[in-house]
Amino acid sequence: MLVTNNKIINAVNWAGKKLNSVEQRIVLGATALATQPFFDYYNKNVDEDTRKVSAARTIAKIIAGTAVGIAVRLLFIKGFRKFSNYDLKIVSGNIEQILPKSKKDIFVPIFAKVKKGMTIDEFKNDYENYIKTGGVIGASIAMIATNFLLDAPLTNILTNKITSHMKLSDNNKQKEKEACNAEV
Amino acid sequence: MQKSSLFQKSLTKIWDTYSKDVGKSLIHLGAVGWIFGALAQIGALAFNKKIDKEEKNFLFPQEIADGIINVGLYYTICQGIKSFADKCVDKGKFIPEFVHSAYEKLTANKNLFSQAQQTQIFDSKKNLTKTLNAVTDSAFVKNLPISTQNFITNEIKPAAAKLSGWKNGIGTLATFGASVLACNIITPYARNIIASKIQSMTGKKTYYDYKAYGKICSFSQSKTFSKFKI
Repeated sequence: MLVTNNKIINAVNWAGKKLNSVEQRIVLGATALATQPFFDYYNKNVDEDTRKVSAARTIAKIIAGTAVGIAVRLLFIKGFRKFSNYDLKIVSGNIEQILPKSKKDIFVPIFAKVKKGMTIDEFKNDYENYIKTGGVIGASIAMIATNFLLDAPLTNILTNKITSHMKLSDNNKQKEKEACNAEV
Repeated sequence: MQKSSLFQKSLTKIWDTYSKDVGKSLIHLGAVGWIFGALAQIGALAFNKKIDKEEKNFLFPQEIADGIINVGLYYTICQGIKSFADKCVDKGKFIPEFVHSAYEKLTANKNLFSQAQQTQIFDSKKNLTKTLNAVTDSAFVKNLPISTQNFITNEIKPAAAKLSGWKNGIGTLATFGASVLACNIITPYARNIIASKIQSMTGKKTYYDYKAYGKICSFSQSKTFSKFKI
């Protein structure tokens, strides 16, 4: 299939340049909220109350995980970028080497080979991908701690809030049924 | 000459592996992220004293199954779909028309290159990425006559750049779609089946028969649920 529509070509190119781990996390979180709780709620293999609690916990886990995941990724990408400022050594129109702008720019890959003939725009694009990847690697390591310190407690708090709301709903049903019983 | 430290080698590895292929970084880092997330959830559940043993009996297998299946399916499905997408681009099945035209021009002008050079450019199996990268490589181009160099610079190099951007974009979108499929559709379905099987093997009774209380339109809340104050 040959693509002639420039809008599609531009959209695909945009996706490759702009989308990364943060955007992926947002999409996963949003689609998870739309699908996962229903799998738990309609799981006929366990009793009704367990199903409800399982669904509540799933919703809490998604909200907590997505919020913390996005925040940590953004923070670490920003941090990685702050220490990745570069200068380029250009010889005869070709980028020979990437050099750190100052001593604090420790994340500049000074031994990385840049393809001959690469334009400045192409390099900037690749470097942006490099920064985002480096940031997410740092975030993944940090998330070992944040998963325990933030994710899990936030999940428990949100699960409590959701199940307490469920309990109220069941109490209302209980009252209705007792009223119904009194009339009989 | 400055020696490359382990830290700089790592940075170079990140540059080499992920700067041109966002989809690959999403797959690898996504899998790592899910592993850490699963370990955290299992740990938090283990240390949560407020969830009773009966509920942990179900939630533990669910969390463990969730983790293993999530990571395994994520990697397998994402890698599989991305590889398929990459292959479609490399074989010329799904590419911009401009790139296809440039490739056709290149194959039509094979005679500009020697037999050895043609072997270098064209693989036995059609692979647009390899071919266009090989023919635009500066080490390859500098040995060619000026007219051939001009042909490559004007006709082939722009197409090679466009193909690189296109392939990266397709790989990214394929990984996005695959990750949604793996994490949010296949995984929850699979984990519930497996966790329920594990629970049934432990012999836990989970169903409270409200009819046993003797009333039709009122029933007591199950012990399991009423205890659920986390």
